[in-house]
Amino acid sequence: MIRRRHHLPFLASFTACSFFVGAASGQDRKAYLQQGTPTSMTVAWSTSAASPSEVRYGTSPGALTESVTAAASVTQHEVRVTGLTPDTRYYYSVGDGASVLEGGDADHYFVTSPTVGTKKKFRAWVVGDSGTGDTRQAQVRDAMLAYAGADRPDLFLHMGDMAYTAGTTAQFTDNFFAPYAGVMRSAVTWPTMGNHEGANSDSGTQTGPYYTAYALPRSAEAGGLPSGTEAYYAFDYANVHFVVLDSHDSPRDPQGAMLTWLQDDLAATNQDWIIAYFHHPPYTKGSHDSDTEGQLVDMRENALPILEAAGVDLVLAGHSHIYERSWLIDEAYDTPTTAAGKIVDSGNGSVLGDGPYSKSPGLQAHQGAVYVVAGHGGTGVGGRGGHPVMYFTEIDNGSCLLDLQDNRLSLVNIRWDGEVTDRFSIIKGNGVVVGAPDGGESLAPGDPLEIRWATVGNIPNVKIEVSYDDGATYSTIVASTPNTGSYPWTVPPIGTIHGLVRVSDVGNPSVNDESNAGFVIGNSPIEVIPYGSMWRYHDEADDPGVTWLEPGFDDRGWKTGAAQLGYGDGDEATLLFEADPVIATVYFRQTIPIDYPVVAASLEALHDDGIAVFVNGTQVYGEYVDALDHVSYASAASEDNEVSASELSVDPSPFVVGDNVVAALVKQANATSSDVSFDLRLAVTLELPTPGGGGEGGGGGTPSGGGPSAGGNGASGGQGGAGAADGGDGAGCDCAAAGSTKPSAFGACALAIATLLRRRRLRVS
Amino acid sequence: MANDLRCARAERRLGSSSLRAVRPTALSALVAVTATAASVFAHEGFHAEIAALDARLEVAPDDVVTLVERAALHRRAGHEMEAYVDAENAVLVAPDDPRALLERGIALHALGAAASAEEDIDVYLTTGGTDVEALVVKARLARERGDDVVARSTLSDAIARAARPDLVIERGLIDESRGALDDAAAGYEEGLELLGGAHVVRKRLVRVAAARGDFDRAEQLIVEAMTRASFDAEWLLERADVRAARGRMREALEDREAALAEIDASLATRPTDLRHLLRARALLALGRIDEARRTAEGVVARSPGLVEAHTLLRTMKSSSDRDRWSLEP
Ligand SMILES: [Fe+2]
Repeated sequence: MIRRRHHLPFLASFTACSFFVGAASGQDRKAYLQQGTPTSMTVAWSTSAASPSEVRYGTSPGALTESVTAAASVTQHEVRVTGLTPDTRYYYSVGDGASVLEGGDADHYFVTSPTVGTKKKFRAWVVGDSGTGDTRQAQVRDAMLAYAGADRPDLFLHMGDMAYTAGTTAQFTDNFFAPYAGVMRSAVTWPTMGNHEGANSDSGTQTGPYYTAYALPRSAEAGGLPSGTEAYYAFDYANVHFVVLDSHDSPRDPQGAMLTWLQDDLAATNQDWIIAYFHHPPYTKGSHDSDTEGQLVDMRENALPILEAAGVDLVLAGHSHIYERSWLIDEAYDTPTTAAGKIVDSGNGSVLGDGPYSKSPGLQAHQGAVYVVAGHGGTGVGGRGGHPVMYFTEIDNGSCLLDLQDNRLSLVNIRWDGEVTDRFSIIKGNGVVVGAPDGGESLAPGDPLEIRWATVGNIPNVKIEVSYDDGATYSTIVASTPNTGSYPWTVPPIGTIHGLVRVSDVGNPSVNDESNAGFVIGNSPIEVIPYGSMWRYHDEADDPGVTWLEPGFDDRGWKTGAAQLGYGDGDEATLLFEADPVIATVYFRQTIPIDYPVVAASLEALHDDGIAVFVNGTQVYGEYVDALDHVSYASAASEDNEVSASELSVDPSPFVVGDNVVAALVKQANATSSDVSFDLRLAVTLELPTPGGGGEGGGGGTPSGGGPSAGGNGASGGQGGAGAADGGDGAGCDCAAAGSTKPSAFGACALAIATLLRRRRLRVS
Repeated sequence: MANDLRCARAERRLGSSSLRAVRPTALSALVAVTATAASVFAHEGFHAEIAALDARLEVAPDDVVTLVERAALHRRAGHEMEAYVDAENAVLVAPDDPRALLERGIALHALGAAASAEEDIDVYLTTGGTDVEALVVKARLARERGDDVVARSTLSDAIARAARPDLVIERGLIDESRGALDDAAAGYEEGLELLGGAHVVRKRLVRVAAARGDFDRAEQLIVEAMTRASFDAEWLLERADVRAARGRMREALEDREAALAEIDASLATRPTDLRHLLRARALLALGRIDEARRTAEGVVARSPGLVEAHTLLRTMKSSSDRDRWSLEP
């Protein structure tokens, strides 16, 4: 089974510290980022009392060696940090010059934009109509964070309606800055104004809480042409030109200032992609109707002809409380909207479905754009859907993650409950798009995983590789395999917190794609003892003494049976001896091989009545057992078939690398008790080797083989052995191609893992 | 002014059928009208905000704040008649309420009832109203009746309160149309300063500066823009026109050829219709009129919604004497 991470520790801490922003510090709004460019960043925050401003920053959280200060006492602090290096992570803190309000840790960082035009991979979070301050808004946010894992968004694009109900200062603070503080301290926020902000903010005068909170470009500070207003603006990020329009409060007539600026701005961009967004969607049948409402009609009839003549690729909006996503469409300007003749590609655009939408490289007019309504970020959803240009509609809350790299664009809709309910991709020119693994998967060694991809262009064969170090180095999974779009792979026993799969054209390796974000191997618990497993047991009246729980105890004379073991309930797989008078204690042992250090363990036991569990002679768990001797009864009666669960302390670890003996005793509560029950499951999290840490060659490792790469390959080869037990899918790698000619230490370890997996009947899925 | 008179005026402009449903005869009728208007919009997807206001008004039909709020919502949605009905109801309940008067004035202006609109707007402004939109409507009303002086000064008042690119352009175009190029240049210079170098203002200012013979300023504005531009063609075409106007024909030719070369080089990977449109302009400037026309026709065929392409093609078709300093926007 492939698990999505939902309970990462950092998420819990994020929720705890961000949702309840401490007013006690005098800081009304935590730090957030504005107007990021390749060489500058604005750090903003607000305080209840006026004070000077200081941002300290540096490339290590422990060494904030630089600072920018502003002596003026203000409550809205905006500090522009300049002279920075492109595409570089800086850590920062904010304060008043005398003391630090927040930051100076690993969580407070910003990353400068890549040099304009760079084909760098990045991620943006798209949210609209979310600023309620309610639970659902937090659930939408947390679903995104759980999906994103370590690959947090670089940009936060808000579609407007961020502070219900009227965009007051307090509503901004409570319903926007507080719930998103954990995102906004490291992702640059680029908003567009919604009608609810418009209630108290004015685009004409550039006043009100919206314009107070944001420091947006009006003089092309972040790319594009100077709009002359913060109400609408452009910015460049990597090889994408973003244009942000004001559909609420600025004139929308075709010859007006905004759309004249738009046309000239788009005519001047040399970027590879154009993404536009504004609050009022040109196509929707959600809580608003684009066929009848003026602002929506205006944007469709007036702005879209310019955007599409410029080759726009993606248009995002909010306002309508729904998720709607179009086919690849073009020139659907009529009112009411009709779809006939407007759909350029009627496929679903999914790598896992009909394949990605295809466009020419660079920018070309009228090859189609995808329109997304993301007005589902937290407030109540509504409408009937059914818009004629929409491929997919979901009347439920959620948000979108947009991933972009070079000539590939992908977007997923993450519902508030964590389900990914829609996805599409666009490729420009020939290319590959990896669909799975796509990031966020939590994998365990031995998991079967179908690698999925789609291609555009003539690509007969592909090479598939895996990286365990966020793309720094790659190991070959298969050097050449027919371009079928899928390849079965068995997850190797190589730990990583940031694994990527890369698929490339064998004939032209520069045509490739990698997972949008990282997957994890190894920090998922592996169930080493499942319920129903086989135990040796002693249910006789004779006392086995005190050594029965030791690893070296000889239990070969004990009986063997499958759990559940016991008597008296009728649900037992193995009946124990029901003596009269009752025997106070029965004993169980099982030996399991574990080939890597255990960093966490948990057990769940079904018992009646008392139970004590030992690992290698160390008691790790007990319930209703005070005395361990043979004749003592349990300290209390349990429920029938009581189930208890516990995380086990691994400090110090009772587990060893090698054979581990798990022993348990179960005690009757008294001489008249009529039943005994025992079953147990144990899960451990292993500290798996990382590339470079365990390969016999040591050192760096490259995709071309040697060192840990060879080790990795050997591990995969061993996994091929496991695969044989799993049906012989041959999901190993080409050791020869990677230069590995003999089993490595990794390979040996992998074989041991494979043995372990077989022993537990491959119950890893 | 009596309501029926006001409506009668509007009716003459709009045709009787369109206004019959909203003619107010008594307050109770207006509430019914509101319900009728709402039911017209009880279509699929009609947004919840209006519905919520409807509900509030069912309970409290004389709630001026809600009436005004709904009028504003209708106005933004382009439903001028519904906006007018709500504003009218609000004014009937509270004849001195400034927001109600403003909304009614804006709605009446949108419906073409100029005199009634101006009456409301004047009351709003003379009683201390500060909404910039009132000044904008007042300026447009003045422009419509040919009073460019009042229109200009009113727009200046508006710009003083809200330096919006569209208002700076609107004021400048009034100046340009009445031949007051010094005023236009001064207005654009002010706007450029207030608006952090807004592109649309700079473009107008270049043309006006050149038309005034202030070629140095025109070229300076262009050079400033080109220092940070990633694509120079549009500014090269503008500079060529300036240089041609000051008689530097060889330099103008070089700029136009450089612009065309940059555009053509870009078309390999960015053959957008905005670039093709620029190419048509460059060809036209170089005197390659047939190619320019074919290029523009291609743009119009592919991007019929691109207003500027139609304008350029019309210009080519209608004028053999291309006035490089046409002040048409
Ligand atoms: Fe909205």
